[in-house]
Amino acid sequence: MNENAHTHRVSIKPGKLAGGFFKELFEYRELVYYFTWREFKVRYKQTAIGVLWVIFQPLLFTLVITLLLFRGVHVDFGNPLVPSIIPVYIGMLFWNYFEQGINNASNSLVNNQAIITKVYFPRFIPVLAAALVGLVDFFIAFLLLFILCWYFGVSLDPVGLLSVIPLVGAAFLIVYGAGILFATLNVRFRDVKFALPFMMRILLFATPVFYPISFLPQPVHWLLYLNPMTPIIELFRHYALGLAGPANWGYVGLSALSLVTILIVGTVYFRNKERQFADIA
Amino acid sequence: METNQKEVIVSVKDISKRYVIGHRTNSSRTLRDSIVGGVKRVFRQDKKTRQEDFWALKNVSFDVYKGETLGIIGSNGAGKSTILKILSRIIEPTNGEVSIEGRVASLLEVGTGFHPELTGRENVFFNGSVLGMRRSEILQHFDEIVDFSEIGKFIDTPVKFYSSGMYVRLAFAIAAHLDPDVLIIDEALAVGDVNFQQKCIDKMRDSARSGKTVLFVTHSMNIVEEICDRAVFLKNGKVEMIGDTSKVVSTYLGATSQDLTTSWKATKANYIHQPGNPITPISLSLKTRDNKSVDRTIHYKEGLLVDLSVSIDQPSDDMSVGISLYDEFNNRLFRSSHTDVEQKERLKLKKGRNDLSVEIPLDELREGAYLIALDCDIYRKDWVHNPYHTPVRTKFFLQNDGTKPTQWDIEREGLTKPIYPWHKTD
Repeated sequence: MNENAHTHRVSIKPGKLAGGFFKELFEYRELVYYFTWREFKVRYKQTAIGVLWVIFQPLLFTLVITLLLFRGVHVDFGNPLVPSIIPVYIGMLFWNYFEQGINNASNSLVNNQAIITKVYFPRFIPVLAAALVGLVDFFIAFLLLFILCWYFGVSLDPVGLLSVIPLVGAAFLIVYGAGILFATLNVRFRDVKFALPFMMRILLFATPVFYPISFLPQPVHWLLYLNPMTPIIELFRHYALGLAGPANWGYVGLSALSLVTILIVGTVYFRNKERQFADIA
Repeated sequence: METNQKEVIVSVKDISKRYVIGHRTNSSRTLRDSIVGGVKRVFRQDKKTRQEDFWALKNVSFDVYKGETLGIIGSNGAGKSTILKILSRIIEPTNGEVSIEGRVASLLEVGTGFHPELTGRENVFFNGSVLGMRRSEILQHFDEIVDFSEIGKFIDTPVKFYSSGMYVRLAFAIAAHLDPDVLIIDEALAVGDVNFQQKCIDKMRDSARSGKTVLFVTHSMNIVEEICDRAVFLKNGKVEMIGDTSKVVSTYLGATSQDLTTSWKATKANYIHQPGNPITPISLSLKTRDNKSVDRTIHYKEGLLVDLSVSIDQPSDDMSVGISLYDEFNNRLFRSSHTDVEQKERLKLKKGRNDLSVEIPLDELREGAYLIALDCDIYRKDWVHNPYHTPVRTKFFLQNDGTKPTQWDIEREGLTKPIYPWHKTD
């Protein structure tokens, strides 16, 4: 360690508290791991069924939707061989990651205030850890999908299943981008804590989670595609189950644009405010 | 010593830190006040609150040389914590630049990021990582950390079940095994019981002697003189003096002993009564045994009487009224209150004004400046007047040459210098 001591130089001056994102990400990679690890450990301590909560939440919601709501509303996913519980569960899987990821990420800076005011580390790490730990939950709950498909005799496309990797990667970018935006806002304005769950509840109905996008009239589709989760869910149902995919790829482009915008706005706003966290917290 | 090489490892250049503080005519203390105040502010036409710049630090510059231990001293509000936070990259300076060569670890508190639900072992890994240790280093030092902390088999127990002593010992043990090039330490670090405090100080001294560069902030002049090579004296956000520890310490003490005041009387300016506080101080003053008032200095043979007047809303058995005595190094020598004796021998406090007096023997106290502060609490419940924070305080200078040993030209060491009878028993 000592031989490279002199190559390591810290300069502290106005407007330059943090280093470059990728440089610090590499330098603090172990801390990213430990934050994620702590987040995961702490979450299910003192719970009776522990990690099973990860499966229960989307499963119960899926059952409620398919058994109760769908008795009155006819939702057609376009393939009579696939019972609607499967695509609804897929929708819930991605939605849960999205909602809980953003919720946890937006509280991550406030929750770690005690550490932020006492020691330096890149401030994006708690947000990143919240987005990462959600992925662990996602993949645990993902395993239940295989059991459901086996039980209902639905075959999954093995190659199509692999699309989960780029799709969940895209979901991760939204969670991180929106998370870091709300987390930064939350440091100054605790209104975020009240506004966010409300916003999420509305967004849940405006995203094809428990219905396919074809359920809604064509003219409003583009609105739903403003949320990048829309094509993520639609595409996975298409590749894994062979259901109808996005009819208009231009809309998918719109989603991509929306994702990039969230990421840029979040990162820029965070970069501008992170230096003041310890002052105003 | 390596300091002879004079290689600059930390360079602080013209650092300033500004805070903008908004003034309000009356501060809101209760929820009701906050709500009413908030509503008023919304409807007020001129949204401008009077704002004022406050410079916590102003053009502070100093260098730290490789291998030295530099102490940062100054009274409360002098900017010590602010400079530490800037050096630790927690807050950013308004102006100026700091450059540091090498790896920095800062310890502004122990147990940063400890989670009560996690076990000791898990917290060692997380806390070590937050403080900048590599995973390999934590693994390498893990057994030493557990040994040093004296936690033993409880290492796999969640820390919420630890006693506060165990918690602090584990936290310090991690900190003690950091191996950065520059270590930044706040005084709050030396905590726990007396034995463990000594262990902490020893460990810090070892770090200092092993050629590590250490920056150290403290109130305790004893520790500064013991472990620091040089010291920086901050006053109102500016560097008042830098240099050899003993010279800086004596300058600091000289500056603080200028404000000796041997009596305190409540006025609107110096005391704000907090609603709900059951004891309102009226006056605190010093006089000699012969009822002569004391003017700044007192000779030990004159004897000291401390007169204390307070007004009590509702007296109760668990309420204690007393004082704390501190020396010029901020060591508390003792607390004394009317509840120190058995219940039946105690003075009975009454509703309304109470005038109390206590005699303090001065023979055993060393020559120097002392501070007496009001110290009231409700037993095991709450501070009523915390001696560390109360404005109700007096300072005096004690002349005591009476017990200087005859054949020695220096004073005996120790916080006090009692003369106890020695007997031969052989």
